[in-house]
Amino acid sequence: MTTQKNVELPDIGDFDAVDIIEVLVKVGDSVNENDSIITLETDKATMEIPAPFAGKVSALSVKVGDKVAKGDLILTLDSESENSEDAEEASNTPETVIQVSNDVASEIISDSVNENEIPKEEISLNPDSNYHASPSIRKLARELGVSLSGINGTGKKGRILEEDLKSHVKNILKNGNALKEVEVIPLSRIKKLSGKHLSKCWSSIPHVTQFDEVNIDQLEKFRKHQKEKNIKLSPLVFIMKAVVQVLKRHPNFNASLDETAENLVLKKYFNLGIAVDTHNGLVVPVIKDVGKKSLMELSEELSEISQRAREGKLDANEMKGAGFTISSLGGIGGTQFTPIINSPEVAILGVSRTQIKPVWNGSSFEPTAMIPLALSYDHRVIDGAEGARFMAELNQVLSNIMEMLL
Amino acid sequence: MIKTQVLVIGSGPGGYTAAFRAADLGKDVTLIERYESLGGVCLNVGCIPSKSLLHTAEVINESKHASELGVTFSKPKIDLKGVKQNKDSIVNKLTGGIQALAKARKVNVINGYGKFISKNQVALDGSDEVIEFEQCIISVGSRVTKFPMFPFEDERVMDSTDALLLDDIPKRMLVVGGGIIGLEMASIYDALGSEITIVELGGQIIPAADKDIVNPLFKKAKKNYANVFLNTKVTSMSSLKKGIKVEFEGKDAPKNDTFDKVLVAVGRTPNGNLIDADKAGVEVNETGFIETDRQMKTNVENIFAIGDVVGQPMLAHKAVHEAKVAAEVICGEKSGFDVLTIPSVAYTDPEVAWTGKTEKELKEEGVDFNKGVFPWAASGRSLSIGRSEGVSKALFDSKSGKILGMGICGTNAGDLISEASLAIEMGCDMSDIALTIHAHPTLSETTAFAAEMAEGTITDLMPPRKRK
Repeated sequence: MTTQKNVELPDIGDFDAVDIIEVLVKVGDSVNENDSIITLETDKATMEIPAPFAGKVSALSVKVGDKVAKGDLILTLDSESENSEDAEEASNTPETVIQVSNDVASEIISDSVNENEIPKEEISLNPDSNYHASPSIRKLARELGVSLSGINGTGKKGRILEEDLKSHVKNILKNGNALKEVEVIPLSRIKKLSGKHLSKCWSSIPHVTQFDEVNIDQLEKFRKHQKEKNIKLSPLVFIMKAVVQVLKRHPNFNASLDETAENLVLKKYFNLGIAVDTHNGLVVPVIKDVGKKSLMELSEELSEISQRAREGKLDANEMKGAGFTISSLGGIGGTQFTPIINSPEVAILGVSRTQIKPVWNGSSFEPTAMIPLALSYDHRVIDGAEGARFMAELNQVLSNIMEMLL
Repeated sequence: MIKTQVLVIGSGPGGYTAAFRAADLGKDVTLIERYESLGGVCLNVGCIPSKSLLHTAEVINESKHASELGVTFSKPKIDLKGVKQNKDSIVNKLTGGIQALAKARKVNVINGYGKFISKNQVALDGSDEVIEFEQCIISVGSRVTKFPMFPFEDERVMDSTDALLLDDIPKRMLVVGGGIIGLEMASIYDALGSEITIVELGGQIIPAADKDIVNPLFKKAKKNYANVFLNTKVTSMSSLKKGIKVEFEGKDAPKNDTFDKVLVAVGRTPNGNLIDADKAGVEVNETGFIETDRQMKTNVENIFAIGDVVGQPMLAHKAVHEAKVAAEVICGEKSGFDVLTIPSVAYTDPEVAWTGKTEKELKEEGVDFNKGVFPWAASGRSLSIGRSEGVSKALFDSKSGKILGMGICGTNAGDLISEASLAIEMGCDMSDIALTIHAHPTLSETTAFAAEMAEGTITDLMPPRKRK
């Protein structure tokens, strides 16, 4: 039995016009349940919408460039109510891999050949259909030993002109990479998106970064103790807890500057953004109400959400609403780094790798676990003294974990 | 032992071009030719003699239709000897010219059949002479494909070379193969008075071209010839006293028929395996083609190959360009064969020519294209010369407007097609062609009109769609 069923856009968070940047199926395709059918792009990230059930696409109601909202009809599936194997067989599951351009530019400039020798090098031939060069330009390219595929033509409709060829060669010679092969690959979608956001944050916010090192001997002892009981807690969950503790006393840090840059919006809730490194780029899922959650709950939620972030399955809702962000590179290494504030937030904490350092205890040097912290804040909102105070208090709470109970 | 820097085997259009270009670039060149006269198939038994005879045919046909122009000629008397003499004198003029050019360039021309004995040596068949070379260019061309099932030992069964000899004018002639060569020969014998039947295996004459471009020629052939059988196979041929008995297998054809002469024009076979290429280590495939890269190099570093022997299309103008590439690469230039199009022409009446992509190729490739078709019935010049059956079709990329291909059927189509080839090489757009002033009244206008049809700017006809 075949029945026609409509597939509508599910709840993707409170967006009412999201761009469709990719339609992954066409009429006649068979899809399995959970196969991606379209890709949406919000200002935060891209997400693929899965098919809710298996079937054969009988009508497509959207195209690339359309804006859609919850409940909009995407497509109609002829679904085979019993026999789903056929569909499986014919399905072509779209892969979510970063696209690497085929059109890799490689240039080889060769030494001039001995007249009596037959040149052995690869010569540049026949342009592909993506660009055009007239026969005389093709000849010149061969003589110069340049591949036309890497050149941006400035002629009408991108045609490659003699000047383009010559300036391309000059450029190669000037940059001294004449014999080095290069490869051009486009940035991943996430990187393109976050790149735009990051450069805006970097150029529009006057950043100040305050550094400190925190003695976490106590914290480490406690963690070790728990580990013996098979309870694994990362330092990050303690830092999250401690940050909330300090944010409560310094509401200016749990805030955002409104678009006019004239008003500060203080947040009465404690949601923390946690920067997660994925193979497609940086994403920042948000852990909500950190103050109300136990260390155990935070630990579980953190591992679950980072896992989904790496799989690219985060929902747009899960990436918004933070008041403060933590970026931890402690697992990788480094002594310090200066994090960039995730606008419109006004501060961010960077965490580097814990090191055992000799610390003077008044009578001797004692091996002590020290964790480096870096607090970047928006100097338009937060004064230097306030920033230093925040850091000092955070240090206080983290080095005396009992204070978290206060 | 003769020592030479560059040895060229075969003196067809490819061979002599390669030899002359290499000589002009300073090489010491030797050219071997198995026949007495230079120029290969093209000059001796191909393009040139056939075009000479086609011109004769054209004059005969024109005189027949002259009554429509108010001039009546009496029925022409065909002096076969005179026709042959004219053809031979043209051929001799050209081959003699090549001989003179070779001499002026100090190219050493050797008469003989060369076969490889090593990667640096060629021996002349039937003599002890060995030529030692640094580089060699194989330009040994192709030969008429002869299926053993046809009794070629009977001289009434001809290949194109035999047909060009014009021994007699058969009363009833069968042409096996509706390709370019078969149709050209049919045109000649038809004008000279033979009753022609054409049999073609495929569903269309000149199968490589688009059907709509071939159609005017097909219609004319249907009208003028006794029969044109498509989708028809010749299953056997036997020599009888009264003629050649041919059995057919096809919907429209009779079971058998007997003809005074049969011309078999079913294609050409490359000569790659007639030169002991293996002794030089040069790879030749089963068909006889030698594979090269786009600098015309074979798998052996110092041996190059060009022309019919390296692959389709087997056309003199392709060979000539490949020849220059090979010679230039040998002389250290960074040359390469990277043309975007090789035009094809059938010098039939009317002529058929095409360049770039055909419409059927674009459809197969799924290219989104825009087509402009201009019927010559609306061309003043075409009507003035008493013809109205031609058609010009131009194909453009829908998005960019860039020209992708062109097909022309009509008087002088073979000359007109060059404009489209240049347009393709230069990446012209539809509007570049439409906005270039073509002299009026000319047949070349039809190319601009085809572009205007695609653009919707035509005024000599109703535009096919709303004017932009």
